[in-house]
Amino acid sequence: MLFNSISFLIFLPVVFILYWGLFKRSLKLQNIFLLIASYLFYGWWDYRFLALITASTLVDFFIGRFLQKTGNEIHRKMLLSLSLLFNLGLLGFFKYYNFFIESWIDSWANLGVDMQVSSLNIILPVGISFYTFQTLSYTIDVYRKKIEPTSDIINFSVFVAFFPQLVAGPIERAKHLLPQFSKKRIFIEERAISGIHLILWGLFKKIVIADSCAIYVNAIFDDYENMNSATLLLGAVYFAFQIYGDFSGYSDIAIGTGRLFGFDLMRNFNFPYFSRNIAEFWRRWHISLSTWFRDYLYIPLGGSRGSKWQQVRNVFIIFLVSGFWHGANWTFVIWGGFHALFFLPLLLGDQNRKHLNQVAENKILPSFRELLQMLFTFGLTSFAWIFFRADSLVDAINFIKRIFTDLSFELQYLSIERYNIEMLLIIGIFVLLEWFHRHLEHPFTGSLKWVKIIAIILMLLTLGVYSDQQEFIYFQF
Amino acid sequence: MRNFFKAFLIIVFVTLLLMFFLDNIYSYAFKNGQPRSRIQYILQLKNKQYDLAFFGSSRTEQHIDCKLITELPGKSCINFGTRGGSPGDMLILMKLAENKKFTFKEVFMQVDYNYNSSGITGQFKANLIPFMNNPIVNDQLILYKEEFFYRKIPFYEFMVFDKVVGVREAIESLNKTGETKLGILFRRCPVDFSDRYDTVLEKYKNLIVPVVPIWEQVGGSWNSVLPTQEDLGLQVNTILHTKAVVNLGSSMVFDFAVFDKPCLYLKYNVERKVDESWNPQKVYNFVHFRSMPTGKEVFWLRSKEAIGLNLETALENSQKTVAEAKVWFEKINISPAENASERIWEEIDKIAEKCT
Repeated sequence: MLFNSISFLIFLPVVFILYWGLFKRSLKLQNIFLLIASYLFYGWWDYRFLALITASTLVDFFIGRFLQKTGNEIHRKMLLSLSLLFNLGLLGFFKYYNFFIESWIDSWANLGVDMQVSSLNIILPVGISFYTFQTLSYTIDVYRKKIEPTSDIINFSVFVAFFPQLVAGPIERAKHLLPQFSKKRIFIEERAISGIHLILWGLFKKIVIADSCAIYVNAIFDDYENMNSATLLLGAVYFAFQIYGDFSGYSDIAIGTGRLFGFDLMRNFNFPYFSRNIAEFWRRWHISLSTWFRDYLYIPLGGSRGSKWQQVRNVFIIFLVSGFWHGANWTFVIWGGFHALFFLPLLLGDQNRKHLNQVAENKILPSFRELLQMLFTFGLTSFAWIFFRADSLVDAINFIKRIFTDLSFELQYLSIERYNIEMLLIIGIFVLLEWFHRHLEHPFTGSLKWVKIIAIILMLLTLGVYSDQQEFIYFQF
Repeated sequence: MRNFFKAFLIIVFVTLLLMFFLDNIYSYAFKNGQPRSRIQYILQLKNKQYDLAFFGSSRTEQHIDCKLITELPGKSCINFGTRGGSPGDMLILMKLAENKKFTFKEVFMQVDYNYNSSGITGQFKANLIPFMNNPIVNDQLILYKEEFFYRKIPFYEFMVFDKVVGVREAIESLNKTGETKLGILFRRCPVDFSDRYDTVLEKYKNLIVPVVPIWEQVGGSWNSVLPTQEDLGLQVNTILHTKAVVNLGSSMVFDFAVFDKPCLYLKYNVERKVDESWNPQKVYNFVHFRSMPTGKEVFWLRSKEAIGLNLETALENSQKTVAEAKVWFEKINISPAENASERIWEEIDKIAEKCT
C-alpha cells in the first residue's frame, strides 16, 4: 500500500479509529490489531511475501530467546551466525543472486569463456533490506547483552512489521522501539497534531517535489545523449531533490503516522543539503542506516581507532557496503566509492567531526563562506547521484562526459513539453521553506501556521503529480 | 482528543473547500479560454451549418485541409479529427454537435481498424472533465461506473488527469483569452554588420529579440560571407516558431511558403533616406521579383500606417497568398524542390567527372 494512495487514505483513519476506540482498553489487543493491520498493509502488494517476514520474525525471536538461555560462548556465536546467515541469506538470495550470477558470467566472458548459468526470475520483496536489518540489530544487541530479549512474540512481530516504517524505514533499533510496545500508549494531542503536520509535509515533499522532479529526471536521463550541458546539470540537481523529497517525505509520513498511534520513531533526515561538508551530510542523510552501519560494521572494524591506513580502509568498507545495500548494481557501489573519496580528505585532515551544529545557528542567512561550503557539498552529492540514478556505469560516465564536452548552456525544451528550467521555481520555494524552518521538523508553526498549511494544500492540489504517480524510490531497496 | 479532531477536520474542510473552488476555476478556464481540445472547440463554435464534416484520428486532423475546401465556391467544412481519436470519442463529438443543433450535409468518418470501438480514449476522457456538467458529457461518463464515485468529488478528475487538464493547461487557456500578443524576431541581413539598428533594438528590447544569422566570413569581400550548417537549423526553427515574415524583397518568402506561412513586403520609402538612389521600386524591379506571376504572392505594405491592418489580415487569412507564393516558387525552382540537394550533388559529380 502506498502512502500516497486512495487505499491508504481509507486504511489509516479506519485503523486509527479502531485502535483508539475499540482496542484502547487492552494493550495486548492494540498490539494484535497493529500486527494484523501491518500484515494487511504489507500483503496489499503481494501476500506471498508475508511468509518471508514471518519467517524472519520467528527465527530472530527464538534465537533471541536461546541467546538468553545459554551462557556458552560457542553456542552464542553459533546462534548469532545462524541469524546472520538466515537474514543475510534472504537478502543475498532475493536481492543479489542474479547480480552475482550475471557478474560471474560477465567476468568469464571477458576472459573469452562462455558460461551457461541461467539467472532466476526473482521478485525483490518490498522493504526486505529494511526489516532484515531491523531484526539483525535486535539479535546482535541481544548477543552483545545490550538489551534483554523479549518473551512476547506479538510485541516482537509488530516491532518487525510495524506498518509506518516497515517498507522504507527509519530502520529502528529494538532498544528504542520494542519497549514502546510494552508500555500503555497515551494519546497526546500535541504529538498527534504534529503527526498530521508531518504527514502533510511529507506528502508535499513526495507528491509536489519528488514526483514533479521525477518527470524531468526521467526525460533527461532517458535521453541524455540529446541534452546540452545545462540540462544535464539540471538533471543531476533535479534528481538530488527527487530522491531527497521522495525518501525524506516517506520518513516524515512514517514518523507522523507513528505519532498518531502513540509511537516515537527516530528522525531519519536533518536537512542534509544544508551540510557544509560530506561528513556532515552523512550525519544528516538517512540517519537510521548510517548509524546502523556505524554501530554494527564501522565500530566492530575498529572505527576511527588504529592507524590512518586502518581508518581509511574502514571508511571505504562502510561506504562501499552502504552503496551495495542500496541495490545490486555497480552504479550503487561506485556511488558509495565516490562518497568514500569525498570523505577521505576530511578524515586525513581530522575535519570529519567539524560542523556538528546547525548551519548559521541563530542567524537568518548563512555567511558567504558557509554558502560556498553548502553549494560545494551539494555539488559533490549531486555528482555522485548521477551514478545512483543512471541505468549503468557506461550511462553515468557518458552523462558526465557530455556535461563537460557539450558546453552548451541554452534553454532546452524537453520531450515532456516543458523547458528544462521550469522546475527550479518550485525547488526554490521548497529550499527557502526548509531553510527558514531548519531548526524544526516541519514549517507549520508560528502565527502564519494556517497560511502555510493552506498554501501547502493548495500546492498539493494544483502542483502535485497524480497521473504519473511514482512509487517511493527506496521501496526497491 | 478534541483539539486533535478540530485540527484534523479543519485541514479536511480547507482541502474540500479548495477543491471546490479550484474545480470551478479550472472549469471556467477551460470553458471560456482559447480552445485547446475538440470539445472546447465544438462547444464554442458559433457557425452551425457546414457542408462537410470530418471525424477521425490524427490522420483526419492533419491531412484534411478545410482551408482548401472552403476555397471552393459555396463550400464550408469543419474538421473534428482528434489525435488518437476512437469511434467512441467521435460519437460524443457527434452527440455534442447534435445537441448544439449543428447541421452537416455530409459527414465523413475515418476509423482506424486497431481502435476499440466501444470505449473512449483516456486523453479524450481527460478533455471531457471540465464539461462534466454538460448533460451529454455526463451521460457518457456515467457509462464508466467504476469511476462514478470519485467523479462526484470536486476537482478529483482534474488531479487524476493533471497532464491534460492540469494547472499548466488551465493557465495556458486563460492566457489566450485576451488579445493576441506578438513579438518580433529580428534577423538582420547576414552581411550587414552596421550598428544602424542598435537604437531601435535598445528602445524596444521588450518587443524585439535579435537573432544573429550564423554565417561565416570566408573571404575579404561582402559576398564571401557564407551560411553555415547551423544557420539552416536556426532558419527552420525561426520559421516554425513565427507567424509570418516581413522584409524588403527577400527570397525568404519561399522559406515561409514551404511552411504555409505568409510574407509581407515593405514597399514604401522611409522618411530619412541615407542613399537617395535606392527605393523599393528599384528593389522589386530586380529579376528575382519580376518573376512574380501575379503580384499577389505577398502582402504589400505600402505605408507604415498600413502595417497593422495588413499584418492582421495576413495572420487571419493567408491561404490564398501562400498558395500564390507556392506557384511562384514552382516557377523559379526546378521541381520537386525537395530533391534540390541531390541535383546539386549530381551536378558536382558531373563536373568532377569532366575534370578527371
